[in-house]
Amino acid sequence: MMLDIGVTSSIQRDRLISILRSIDENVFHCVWIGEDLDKPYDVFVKASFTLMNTYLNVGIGITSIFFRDTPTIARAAASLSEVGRGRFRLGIGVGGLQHLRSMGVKVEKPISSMRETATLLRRIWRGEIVSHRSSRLNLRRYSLCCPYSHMIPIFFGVRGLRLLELAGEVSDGVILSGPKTYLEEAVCAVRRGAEKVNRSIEDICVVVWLPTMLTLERKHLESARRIVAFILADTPLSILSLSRIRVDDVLILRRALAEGGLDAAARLVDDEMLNEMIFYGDAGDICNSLLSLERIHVDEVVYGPPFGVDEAESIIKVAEAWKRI
Amino acid sequence: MEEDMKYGLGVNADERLQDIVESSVEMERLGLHYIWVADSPSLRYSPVIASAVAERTSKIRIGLGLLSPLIHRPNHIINSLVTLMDLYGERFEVCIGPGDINQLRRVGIDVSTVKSLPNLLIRVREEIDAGLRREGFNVKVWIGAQGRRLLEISRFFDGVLLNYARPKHVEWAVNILNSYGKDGLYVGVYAPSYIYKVRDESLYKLLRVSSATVALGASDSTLKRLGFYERLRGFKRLLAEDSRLEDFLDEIPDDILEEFAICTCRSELTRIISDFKRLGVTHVIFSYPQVLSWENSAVLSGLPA
Repeated sequence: MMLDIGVTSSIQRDRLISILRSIDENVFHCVWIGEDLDKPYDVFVKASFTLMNTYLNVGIGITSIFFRDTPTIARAAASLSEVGRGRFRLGIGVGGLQHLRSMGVKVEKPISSMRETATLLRRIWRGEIVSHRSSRLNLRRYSLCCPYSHMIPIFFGVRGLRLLELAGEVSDGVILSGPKTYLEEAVCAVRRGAEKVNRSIEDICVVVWLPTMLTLERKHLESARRIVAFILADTPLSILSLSRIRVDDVLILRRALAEGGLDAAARLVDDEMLNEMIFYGDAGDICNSLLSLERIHVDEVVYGPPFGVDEAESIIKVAEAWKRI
Repeated sequence: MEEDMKYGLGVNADERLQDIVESSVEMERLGLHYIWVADSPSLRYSPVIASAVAERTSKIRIGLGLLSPLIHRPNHIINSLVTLMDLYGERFEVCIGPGDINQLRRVGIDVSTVKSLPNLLIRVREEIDAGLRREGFNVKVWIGAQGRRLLEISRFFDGVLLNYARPKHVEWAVNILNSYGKDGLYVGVYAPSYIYKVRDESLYKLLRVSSATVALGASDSTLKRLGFYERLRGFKRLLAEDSRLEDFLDEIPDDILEEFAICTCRSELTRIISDFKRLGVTHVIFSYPQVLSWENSAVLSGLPA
């Protein structure tokens, strides 16, 4: 199993550099960058900067296929693959529905749109002249000007079971997030999809990205509760119903979030929710918890954010513990 | 006081990334002021290329564009600029415009059906301005213009990049700009270029491609005014019918293509520059394929201020 590290596109330059300097490149395998749709940062530019400042793989995890059109994603990813000389990985997904809606972006037919996007991206990267018409796209003898020698791995960052099955059918990898007890069900769905097309789960790189926090003191978990409240507010109830988290409790939390803000919602995050949504403890606890996911065929686990009280020190400690274990 | 002429190199983002970056480093060393990274649906993604250029340079200004709001939402443009400036400092500028109609057609966008394009561009410029100001940045926003409609709205921008190469065409555009007067408007010439010491036919061939792209992307009214419409309309139709430029490039007359490009030896360039300067041009950007030859890019050192 590989250990990755995760940041988001809104991370400031100095913090990103500090994290990249803390990374032991013999321990970590990939830097994943999540796209903050509500912050004014370009995830592709952040990925480019990261590729030029580390020797690790760098992945976008994820960008919404509804936020940018397919040719733009294709050429941005191809550019990044060239910047990183083949170290770039592209994560695509539907994206946060609330954010997309607030930006006036329509989300229609997510399953067929994801399949269509993955297929077209590969055709474009292969240098084909592509003609294709659908409700979202109209490509007429479209091609990229320059050929790309690297086939970029496509990861699906999706949660619904049907989308996970699709990931099993067509993706190179899948980025899973959500309650821990849901993850097993999610991997099963990926496996089902893979088997439908005579692939195996081993053909798909399964990545798990949950918030992770190195902490020895309970009081530091307060910031983790805020993160969990925020994530629970955006997690579909169908996903929560596959976990140990009680859906009714989440509905109450959402109401609190709407009426009293994040602090009010964070106060309703109980230990069950915390345990389901976040990895925490000392460095050894965290590494053992992450490694335990190997039994459900997880290939890579992402450490961070919030990392810990002292980010750089936490990253170093987790890397040391990972090496020991 | 009259400002010194500023020079830049346009990169098309379909060269090898390493070549673009190395040329940019060389241009900075030679004292050029700008690298403009072109953008179109079939080229590399310009903000990523700009970041690769910025990573290896420290002073040279980097222009993004032309970015078409028909494929880039205003918040995408803002996000790219904010991220680039956060990472590499405030040395970025942006040019917006409709974009190459033939390239846009390839991704399903028919520019002729876009309602009130000038108003759209003005609105996008305002949104970019407001978004960047919110983040504490102030960036020069240019418009890429060729025809009268866009020249007339240039006054709403910080500068205008003219897609012309000949002083007589620039003069026509500048007269329109002057009639709508805006003090301090920067006027740039952005043209396919090949300035050489010794002419290389393979580069000249690439210049023809670049020049044909501009010529066939021009509006019918622009081509009529220049007297090329009748001779080019057949080729325009072929592109509209999804033929590819390389299928008929050799049939496009040289004399037309040369009207859209700066193709000259270094000694002759000084005279052209002085004509531009007399017309009020403040920036000259030598676009593709100038970047492809290091030897020929070196001829851009020591241009008149």
